[in-house]
Amino acid sequence: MTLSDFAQIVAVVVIVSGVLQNGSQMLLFFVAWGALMGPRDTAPETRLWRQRSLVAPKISLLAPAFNEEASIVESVRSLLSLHYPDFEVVVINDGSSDSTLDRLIRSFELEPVVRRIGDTARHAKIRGVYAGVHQPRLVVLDKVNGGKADALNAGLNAARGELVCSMDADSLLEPDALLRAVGPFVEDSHRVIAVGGSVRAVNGCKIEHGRVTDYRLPHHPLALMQAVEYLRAFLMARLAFSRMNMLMLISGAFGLFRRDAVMAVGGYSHGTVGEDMELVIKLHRRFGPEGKRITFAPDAVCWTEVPEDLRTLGRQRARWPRGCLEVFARHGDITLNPRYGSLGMVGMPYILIGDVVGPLVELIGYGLLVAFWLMGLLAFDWVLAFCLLTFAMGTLLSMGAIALEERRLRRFPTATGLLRAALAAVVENFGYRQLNLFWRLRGTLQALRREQGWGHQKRRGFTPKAVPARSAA
Amino acid sequence: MTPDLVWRSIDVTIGLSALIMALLLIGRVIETRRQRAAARDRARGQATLQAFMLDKDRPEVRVDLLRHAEAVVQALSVIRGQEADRLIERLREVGLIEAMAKRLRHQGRRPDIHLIEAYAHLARPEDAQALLESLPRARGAYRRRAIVEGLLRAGAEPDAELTIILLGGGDQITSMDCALIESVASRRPDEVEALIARGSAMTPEVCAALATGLGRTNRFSAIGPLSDLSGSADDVVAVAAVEALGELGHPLAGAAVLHALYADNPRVRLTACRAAAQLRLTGLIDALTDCLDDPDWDVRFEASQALVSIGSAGLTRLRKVAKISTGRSGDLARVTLKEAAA
Repeated sequence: MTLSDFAQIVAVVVIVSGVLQNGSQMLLFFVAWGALMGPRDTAPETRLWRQRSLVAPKISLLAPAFNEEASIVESVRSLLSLHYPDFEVVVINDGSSDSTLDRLIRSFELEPVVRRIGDTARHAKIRGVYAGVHQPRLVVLDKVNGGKADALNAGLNAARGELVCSMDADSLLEPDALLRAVGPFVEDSHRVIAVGGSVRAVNGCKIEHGRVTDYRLPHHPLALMQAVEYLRAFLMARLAFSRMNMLMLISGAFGLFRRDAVMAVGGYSHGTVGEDMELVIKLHRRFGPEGKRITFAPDAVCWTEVPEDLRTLGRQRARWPRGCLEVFARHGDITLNPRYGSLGMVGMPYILIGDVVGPLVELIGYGLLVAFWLMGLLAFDWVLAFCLLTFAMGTLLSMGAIALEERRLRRFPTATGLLRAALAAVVENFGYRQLNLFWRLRGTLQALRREQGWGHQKRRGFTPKAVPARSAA
Repeated sequence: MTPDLVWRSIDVTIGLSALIMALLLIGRVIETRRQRAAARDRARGQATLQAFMLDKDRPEVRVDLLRHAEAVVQALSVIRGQEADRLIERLREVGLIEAMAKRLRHQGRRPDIHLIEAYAHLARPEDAQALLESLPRARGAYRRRAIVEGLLRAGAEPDAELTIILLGGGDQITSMDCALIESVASRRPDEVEALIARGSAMTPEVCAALATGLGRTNRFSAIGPLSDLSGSADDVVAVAAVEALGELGHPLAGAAVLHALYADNPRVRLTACRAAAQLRLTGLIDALTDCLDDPDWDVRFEASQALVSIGSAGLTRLRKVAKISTGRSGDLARVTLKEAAA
């Protein structure tokens, strides 16, 4: 066998692995499409309210805040004005060094109160509990800094709702998001223990009084490509995984859980950057064999700001495979374990291959094929074929995700918005996709070196002047 | 050279992407038209209603009324008070309700959900009951739910057994179905008590809904069947029954609640603590004090809450626990007392 033959074999292997990876995602697309073909839960809010208000359980919204002075008051106001019959907002000030707590106290006229706080989930010391006479639904916990998981655990212990909703203090929920997210609990109250909601990029949208009033796609190209990426992740992958009862990730930005179920697994784990994924896996481990379900509500929408600079985005993307690998380090025994059904046999291996191994193979593919071509061992059309096939399949998947969005949520207000999203689906293949692979690879290496921490995250905030800095311990 | 298959795959993939985009744009145009048509329909409903108010005898107005029944009812829903009642009476006079009933019967096993809703809004309770209960077993959980909802909306008293068959017969019973069963159970307590006494075969969810419905009746006779259900091995049933006993608020329910305070399942114990808070019986203080040491934090919390609700006797016990206990029950009692004082 000549060197040229060897190079051709490598090229075939790389192309086939790329096709297989994209093919598996295509399968997810069809499963998600099947799920969306069922009855659409797009009833107007008034009808939903009539149907669900009497049976909707109490929800405690847990909003951890760390140095969010620029946006905290507006965020909390937005949370307090959600349309849901019975809920409380528990803001956990995770040892902020700025005036987050002061602003909350002043804006909502809070006073120190006594509140019994459980001890089931482990967390750092709580310095004080505040509540307001004018806002009986608001409780603020002031605690020593311990990170997001620690703050959520404190919130879990202080919560009084049957359901708890974990979210970021700087995310915006649509007014009817809770009413829609509670749907699976209402429909199948004895089996559903957790529900994830859709997360969308808020960049470019018009926001008034903590509400998205005009849906727009982001103007910044980096944010626009992320918006399409979020569609792929939430409307395709999560919906399909949920349909097969192997949803492994409920985003920390918006998830609804049965409080007793979360308490039964000891709350969030410390010392991981993927605490949201870890919690879901723990719930699967504990309740999966009992036939409980973790599902996804695509119509419940939460808006979050996505990074518009490469540095912040790179850090975020590196964190994902790190979280994934940390979960594998703790729960690796589930993989290929028939006791955990589809989660063990399909879900865990898929995540490992798709999120950790896949990017590595694709990146190596780019490198090897170009190197072979430069060395004269491979014709240029092999390199071109690999790139074109990868790009075309990636574009097709994105188009599929846009089609799902159009079928279910319809948040692109105009046909121009649709075309812009389609354009982003094509353009993202040239540079953004490769950068993503590089960041993920970097995250994998960081995980192998056991690096900790979230790093500094730059956010613009929802008001034009707001420039809050957010980082968790 | 690369195989043709690869290039063909690339062509197909690009073609599919373009096709999806084209379909999306076409779909967007169709949807816009549909939305416009719906808006037109709403406007027509309002116009029809106005035309009817001006001249009820014109035959084409009657035809339009039936054609746009749902839109008419929507338009009607914004009119309130005596004016709406008068209008409904006039709609009945011209035979709109009979025409709707005829259409519903004609639709057989696939009655239109919106038409059921509209009909229930307008019909007299006895007419609604006669028609909706006589509808052949409708296909699909949504339709069956709409029938029961329609009966309740019309102010009728649907048959409990029929409701259970309609709503509880499917593979999955939702909380909305359970809420409807609860409503029916609270209107037909005799029938439900008889059903429970007979030990009719029911799913735990249906049984729990019946128990909750009984809890709303304020009937002394419900204590017996609910006490039986509170000892059920199924925690869904036991929790609902204990909750209902608390709702009843009758001192005789105390014995079953006391028993539930020592149940194996923490959810049952938790609900029993809440029921004890509603009953406010001093006889439950000892058991609630035991619950202050429960392994489950939520049970401990609810027990302390119940002791506060009982009043001075409960507070005295909390003070005693706060004084003598150094463990978690003592801690909880001290914080509870502080909170109560605040």
